[in-house]
Amino acid sequence: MKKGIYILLCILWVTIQSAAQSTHPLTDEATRLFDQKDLKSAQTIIQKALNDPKEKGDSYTWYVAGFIQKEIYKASETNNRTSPARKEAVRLLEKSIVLDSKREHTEMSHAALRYLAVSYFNDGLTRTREITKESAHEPEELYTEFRRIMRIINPSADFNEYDKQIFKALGEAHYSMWENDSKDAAAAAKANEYFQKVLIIDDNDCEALFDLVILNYNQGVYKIRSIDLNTDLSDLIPMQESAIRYFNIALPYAEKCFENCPKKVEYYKGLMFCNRSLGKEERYLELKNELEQFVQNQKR
Amino acid sequence: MRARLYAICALFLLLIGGYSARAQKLDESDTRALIHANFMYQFATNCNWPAESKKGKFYIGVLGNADVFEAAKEKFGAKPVGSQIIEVVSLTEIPTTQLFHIILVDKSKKAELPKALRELKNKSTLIVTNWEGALSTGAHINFKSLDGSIRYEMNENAILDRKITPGVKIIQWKVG
Repeated sequence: MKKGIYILLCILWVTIQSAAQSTHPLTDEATRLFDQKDLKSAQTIIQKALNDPKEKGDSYTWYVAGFIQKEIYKASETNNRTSPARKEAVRLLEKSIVLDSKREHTEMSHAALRYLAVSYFNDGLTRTREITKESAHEPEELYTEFRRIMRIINPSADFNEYDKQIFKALGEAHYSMWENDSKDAAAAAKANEYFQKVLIIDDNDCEALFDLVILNYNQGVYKIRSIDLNTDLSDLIPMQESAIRYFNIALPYAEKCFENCPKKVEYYKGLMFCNRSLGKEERYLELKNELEQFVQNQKR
Repeated sequence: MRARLYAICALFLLLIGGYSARAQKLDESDTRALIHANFMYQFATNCNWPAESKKGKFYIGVLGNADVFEAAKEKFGAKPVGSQIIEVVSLTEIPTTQLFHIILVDKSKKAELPKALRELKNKSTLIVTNWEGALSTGAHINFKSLDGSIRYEMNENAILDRKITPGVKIIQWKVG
């Protein structure tokens, strides 16, 4: 009896194996090589599978191909923002989803795509730290790809938090560009544009509010600092008035930040300095006293 | 294989966030002090002092405002006015012996103005102040705030009494 069952199981196992092998042998070979961490050979074999008439119509083959490409990206191209392997992985996984009419592998493809999408997002953020005038468009391009992929995973995805993060990072990046070259008014204008975009999403975003205080206030200070010994009296007054315009722009942001955000030393200072620069000395001194109290209370 | 690949996917999801490169900082410079200092330099270069005051250094004293003193010192200390080199001095009281070409009496030292007027009566010292009503109490030039902008009013006759001639530009840009 036991022997009979054993023979039956063997027959069943052989049948399953042969059925599986006959469905997509190249894909299975690629996965076997992948298991052995031989990514290069796995990639070669899966390419054959993608061109094989019997296997190229199977969404699983495309999923495995995408997965292998993703692993190649992870193994050797994570420092490459323009990684061809990542791009190819996305393409293959997208194709797998299109072919997956029974939605057998879609969930797995989504998981792999999510990983890749997030890598685009992180690259976009990282890139903001090192942009120049010439490469200023790159973070947004990477971010656009993140959004595109995420929409494949979830067409109704909410990007507000991601938008805020990238816009703030881009605003700060352009602010740094302005700081490095204070004559670059376009960089300051761009920084302003990005911070304003954050406020469109969330008009109480404390970081963006304070970024706008810094951006405008410091531009005013820069105007005053640029008055030098060669500045004629007839230029000094218009330069001062130009600075005052910036302080006046910064003030409402400083007030909103101070009123609506959790108290911070920097928020006190933002409002204090705007008031001082506009000659509102009483308010400046009042805030200065409040700040001293606040600092003392924090120490306790 | 399929289950295993899925598990790997889940394991390697990256975490979004943690990005914070907030390097932006407020410039804490006292902009009012910087402007006061710049105006003082304009007064120095756009007024004419009597010949006997054109020897040695050009002294600018600041009484009661450390920020203006620092700004002035940093901005034009040791720079020339004609053939004289500017020296900016932080004062603790009205100087009675040494000639100062310009003295700024800050509002925190308002009570010192009468003394300054009395002690410097016979000297070619331009007395500059920064509070409302100072001109009517004898200051030569007084800073005032107009819509947040620092401007100045002046008493030309009082300046001429000290044998100092204000230049055309100084007169042109005064207010009040």
